[in-house]
Amino acid sequence: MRVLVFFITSLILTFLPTCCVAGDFIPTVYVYSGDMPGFGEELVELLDGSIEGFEFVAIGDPTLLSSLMPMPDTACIVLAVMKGKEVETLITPLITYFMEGGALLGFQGCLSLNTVGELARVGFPVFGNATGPFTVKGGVPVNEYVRGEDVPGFADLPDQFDLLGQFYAYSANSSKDPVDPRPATGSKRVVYRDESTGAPMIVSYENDAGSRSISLAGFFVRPTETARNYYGKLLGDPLFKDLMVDCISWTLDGATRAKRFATTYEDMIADERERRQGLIQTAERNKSDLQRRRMLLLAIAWAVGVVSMVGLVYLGFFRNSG
Amino acid sequence: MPRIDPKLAVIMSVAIILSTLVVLTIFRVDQPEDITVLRNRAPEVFVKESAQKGIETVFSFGALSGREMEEMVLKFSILYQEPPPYDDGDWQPGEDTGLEELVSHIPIITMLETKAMALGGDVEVIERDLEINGTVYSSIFYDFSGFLGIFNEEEDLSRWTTLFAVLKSEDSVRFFKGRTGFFLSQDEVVKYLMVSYNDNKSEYLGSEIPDAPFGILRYSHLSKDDKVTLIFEVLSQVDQLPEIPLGAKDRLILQLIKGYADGELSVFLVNGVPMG
Repeated sequence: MRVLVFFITSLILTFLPTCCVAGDFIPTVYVYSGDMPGFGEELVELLDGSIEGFEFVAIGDPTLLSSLMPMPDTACIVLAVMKGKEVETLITPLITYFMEGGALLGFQGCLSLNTVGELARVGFPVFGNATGPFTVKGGVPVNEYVRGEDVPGFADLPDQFDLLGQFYAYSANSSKDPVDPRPATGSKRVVYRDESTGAPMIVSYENDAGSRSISLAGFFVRPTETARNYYGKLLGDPLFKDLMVDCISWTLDGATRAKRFATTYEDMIADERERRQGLIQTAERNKSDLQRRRMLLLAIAWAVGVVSMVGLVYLGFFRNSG
Repeated sequence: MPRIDPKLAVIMSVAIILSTLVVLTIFRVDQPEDITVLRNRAPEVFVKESAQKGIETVFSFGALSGREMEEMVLKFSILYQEPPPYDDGDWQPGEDTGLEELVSHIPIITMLETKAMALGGDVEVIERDLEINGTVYSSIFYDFSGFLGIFNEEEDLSRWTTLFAVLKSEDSVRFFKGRTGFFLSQDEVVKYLMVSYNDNKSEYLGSEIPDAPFGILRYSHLSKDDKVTLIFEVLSQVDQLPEIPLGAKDRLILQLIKGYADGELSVFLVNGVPMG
């Protein structure tokens, strides 16, 4: 019986720290849109449930996004931004996130060297310095996509398609012709090009550490419902949803930090908590030892004092009289 | 030579011993603080391009261990002021609105707290009364850096917003957000940094700054009276500090210094520096 009680107690003590930290680890894809919160929210509505095991959350506040990046379950960040200004306070946080195993998807606002500098260089190597024209088909501005390199994960999409968009960001030489510069490190591949100019429209990138990003050069949309390139029209195209799902899934297949932490985060929290508890307990033990030593010294001082007094009184008052 | 009555001598000796014992008992020497702050200085005002304007922007801090310790951690953070981001634009706190109620209207804090708790983590919430430039504030600090530090290197951590603070005095509210590190954009802005631990001194100047610690100083196996000193100078350019919107006056930067002795918070200092 005693052995059984001991065994159960040991079992509880062994697994207690882990049980205490058991939390909800739900890998999350954050969709950030600073100027068009409606676009971000509707994109989340469109994508939610499309990738099993992942949650989609819309974010409109750059500070909140910055605070969520270091969370262990942040799986991917979709930057649904049209202007560099929307991410200007997020450049360093996003670079850090990407370098440490983050997955990124960036719309046109992330691709211009002029406005987002290092972020465009490190995370979205389109090296945009110019914008190209669109084609109007049936009164709708579109970009014409044609398949480029064969990148696994995009095979379900047609080789050629049109999707709503106005202008596209690209890297141009001095004659405004598209060029396709390579990043210093990592692997960049053009998944789709513009049909007429050959400019990269959808670019996949994997850095040396295995972090992945997708640059979407062509989807310049507006929030006004009456605009020809209103985002609602893009979101209503089933092909766009398929493309987004493929893009996000491809980035999630990289060496992401969320994947790394999914199996270790509980142990990491428990280890830190145990370490801290250990320090506190040792400190308390040391403090009470010190207190005990002080009390002992005080007791010795008292004893010596009392004995001295008794001795003195005896010597002064009783020795001669005896 | 006058003869002293032995009885008088005994009475005097007993009186001396008794009074010594009473003094020893009542006025026992108190144990010193776990960490004693020897020096804590921040600039009187912080302006952009301070060097060009001839304004000194040197921060310094010194501390002493009050006992033997397994570990002492000194954590430096910088928070800057922004308008409070309430969930409802029409909502305004009154004079009697408590800090917790106030924070419940700031979704960024509540959302992050919920997230951290859901993951099984701890959030350090500290409520204190503070005096900054003659005004007494009730304050609440939310520090997520301890939890997020489990998963991220200290240098990376200093790039993300991980701290928030709300200061309230009567009906005026100040909201702050910030990061760990000696200053915002530390590797670009801090021009000189010196850290010493007893006789071991490390100096970082100019291009060496990226090799310096990023706001967190850790020491192990300390003896009593071990001393840590920190001095750093900040020279900021225009784009390295948060924008002050036109018309916004009376903005503050907060330097938060926390000291942990064997895992327990022992020092909590807040230096409020007006932004010029």
